[in-house]
Amino acid sequence: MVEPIFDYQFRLILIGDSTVGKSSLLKYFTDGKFAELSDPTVGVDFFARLIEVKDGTRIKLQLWDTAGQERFRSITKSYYRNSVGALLVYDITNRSSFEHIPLWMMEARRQIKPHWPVLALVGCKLDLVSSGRREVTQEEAQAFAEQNGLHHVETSAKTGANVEEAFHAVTQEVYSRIQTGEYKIEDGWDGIKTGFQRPGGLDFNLVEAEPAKSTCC
Amino acid sequence: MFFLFVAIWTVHVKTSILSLEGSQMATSDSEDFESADEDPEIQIDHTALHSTKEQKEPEKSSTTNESNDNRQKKEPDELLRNEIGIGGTFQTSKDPTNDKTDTEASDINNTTVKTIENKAVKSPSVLPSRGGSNINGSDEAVTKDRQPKKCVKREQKPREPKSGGSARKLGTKISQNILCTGLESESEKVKQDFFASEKTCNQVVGDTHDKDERKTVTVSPYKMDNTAQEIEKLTLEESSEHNIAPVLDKLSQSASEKETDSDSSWGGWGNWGMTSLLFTATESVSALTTQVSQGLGTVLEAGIGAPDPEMLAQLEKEEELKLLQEKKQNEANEFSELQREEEQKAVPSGLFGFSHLISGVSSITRLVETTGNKVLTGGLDTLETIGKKTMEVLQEGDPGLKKKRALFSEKIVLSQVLREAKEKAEKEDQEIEDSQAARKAHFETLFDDYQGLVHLEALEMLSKQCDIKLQSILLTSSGTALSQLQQSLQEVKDICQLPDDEDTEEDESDAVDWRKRLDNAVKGLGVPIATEKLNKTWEMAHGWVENCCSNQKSSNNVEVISARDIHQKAIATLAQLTAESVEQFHKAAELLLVKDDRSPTEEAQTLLQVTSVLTSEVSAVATRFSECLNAAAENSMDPVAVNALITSVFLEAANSSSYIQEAFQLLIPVLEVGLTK
Repeated sequence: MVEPIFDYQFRLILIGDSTVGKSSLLKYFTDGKFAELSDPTVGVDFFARLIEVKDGTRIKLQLWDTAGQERFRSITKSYYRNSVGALLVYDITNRSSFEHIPLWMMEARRQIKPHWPVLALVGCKLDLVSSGRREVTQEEAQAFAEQNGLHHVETSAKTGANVEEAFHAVTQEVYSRIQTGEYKIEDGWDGIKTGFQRPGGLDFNLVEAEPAKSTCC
Repeated sequence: MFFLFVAIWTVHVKTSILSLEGSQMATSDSEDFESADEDPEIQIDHTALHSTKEQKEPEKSSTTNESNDNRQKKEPDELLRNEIGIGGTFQTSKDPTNDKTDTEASDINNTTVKTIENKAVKSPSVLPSRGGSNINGSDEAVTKDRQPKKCVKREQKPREPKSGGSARKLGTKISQNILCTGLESESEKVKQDFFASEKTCNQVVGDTHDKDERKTVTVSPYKMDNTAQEIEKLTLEESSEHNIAPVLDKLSQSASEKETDSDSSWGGWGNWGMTSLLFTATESVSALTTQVSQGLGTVLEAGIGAPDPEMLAQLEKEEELKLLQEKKQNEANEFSELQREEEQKAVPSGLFGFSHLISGVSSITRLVETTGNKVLTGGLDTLETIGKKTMEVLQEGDPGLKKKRALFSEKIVLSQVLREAKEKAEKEDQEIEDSQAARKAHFETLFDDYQGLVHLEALEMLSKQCDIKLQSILLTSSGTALSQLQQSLQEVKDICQLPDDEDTEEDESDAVDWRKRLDNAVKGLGVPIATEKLNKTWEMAHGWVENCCSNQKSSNNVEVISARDIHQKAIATLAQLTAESVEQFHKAAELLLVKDDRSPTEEAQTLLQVTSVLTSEVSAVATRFSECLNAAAENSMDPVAVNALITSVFLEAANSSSYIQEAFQLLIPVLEVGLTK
């Protein structure tokens, strides 16, 4: 169960070829667990986790784990729209999954409305690199990311390496865009929502501010 | 002789006029004074004091910069000059008393006043001295000694506002007295006239004395004073030139006689000792008082930061000194009169010594009284100063103490505010606790936590897309194809019409029965629906309820689960079941959409069955929990609250059912789209 109190809710979508490890990545991120075997995702599954950005703002991430299977492609497309960011996931040990990334990226940019989404390039199965199965070099992935203005990170849902970083980077970027005013909370768009306020939190701040004012004069 | 008489008469007339003038001035003075009295006493302001000071300043003939001593001297100086006119004869007649007094005077402040007083006192003694009384002479010496001491002593005493004007007047009176006595001694005929003038003098003295007692500041009309002085001068010059010379000769004669007599007198040393002792005591006391009050004043002023304490102090001192002078002279006058009266009485009765003793005692008493008075006034003055200063500082930049009052009232409120804040914080804590507790039993929140809401949302998205797709197909279709399609669509819709709460079978199906039904229903859908989750939740819920009920029955109160906990569990279970149901509908929709071979009517019938199973299951779970809660209500101290919880469970069960039915309704476009393939 997710912590009840949060300031914002961001909706992020994970897209990429099937079996690249989207569901495993999310499972590790939300449960801290890794399953060697898992059923392919049907349509979309949902995960949620509460994290904090640098200034302490609590953000609930609602994570849409889409099915990578081609047959669900038409269905998953309909889920893109209400997201604020997308994680383009590929398998480090699967060259084709990386080669499909430009297609996923284009799809995301086309489907995600009304804002230009925050995108991140996430390589999975980093733990398998040690056994010499790397098919995508970090350099080429990094170059692609830089070329397209993406944040790049290589992760492992098995060891947990960089899993947190991947999601934190996207969350922080979305939050920064809120603060700069690029992203706004809009009716009819569920990419960003305000959450439950901390009870009395605002009142306490006011109470603290008032005496400070009165003492100065 | 005739010439002498005429001269005496002239002097006498002038004296009478002068005395009259004096009395008039005295009254006017007192009047002036009363008006002035109000100001410094009531108005605390510095400005008021300043203005008083400014009013007084023109009276002074010398610069204001000069200290009190200067002024103190200056006014008597004029008198002295007048006296010197007479004093010249004294000196030429080589009066040892006079010389001695002068030398003493040079040492002590206020010498001139002393001299005048001495002379004034001395002069009435001419009468008895002529009578040839030896004691009289010694008394003279005593009086002479006493006077200067008084002067010095009074100088030290704390302020008692008076103006120099009255002092001048008194000086005039003194000189009158001299003249009066001089005349008296000269001729018996004039004696009656003298008594008349003496009465006037007394009157004047009384007036001034009254003033004294009122402790008032006298702002005298100095112009009148000046004229009075001029007249006085003239008179004195005349008298000294023509008439007084012989009188003075006689006076000096008697004085010299007295001088020689005084050495052998018994009362001399006695009175000396007494007065000096008293004097020393009073002086120290009054000095202390003055110092303390002044010191306090300075401390206060310096500490509080009053605008100009020096000015204030100076002002006070000036007033004090003026007052002292006046009083001194007053007393000197009184004293001399008193003495004269006594002497007059004493001469015939022959009890001169006694009367003198009495007079000495009375003067001592008066001294003590005044000193005590001064000490008291000094103390009060100090207190007053403190009060004034405090008030001034408090009121600085805060007229009417409005801000301070506001501050005070705020402070009073502050404690209340703090108390209220504490109560508020406690209340908020309680509210947070309550809200957290409520949240635990809040269906929608829990439904969201179990991802039911997002599945419902996703299902809605799919439903909308299917609907859009369907509408576009309908628009593009035409003829028989369209009518056939529309017929099929209507068929599906009819199937999907939920029975209006008519299927309240309530077959009390157990877990196995329910599972069988669900699995059978799902099979007909043709897509892999994962019923495990639902089954797990169902089993878990039933297990929990059974455990709860067995606990309640076992009458072992220790492990009895509270109604609140049962309620929370009930709502959580309902929310979970609903969320999982919605999820399955969502999955079914997704799977149906990707299914190649569709049979929408069958799918619709299956899904209707699934919906029915799910809603009945939800109500079954609610019933089980309600039974559990009913059992808890029997043990509970507050059955009403428990009943409210039971109602809540049924309400949420109905809510849950409606969610499931809504999900099912969202599937209709998904089913319909299948017809178009």
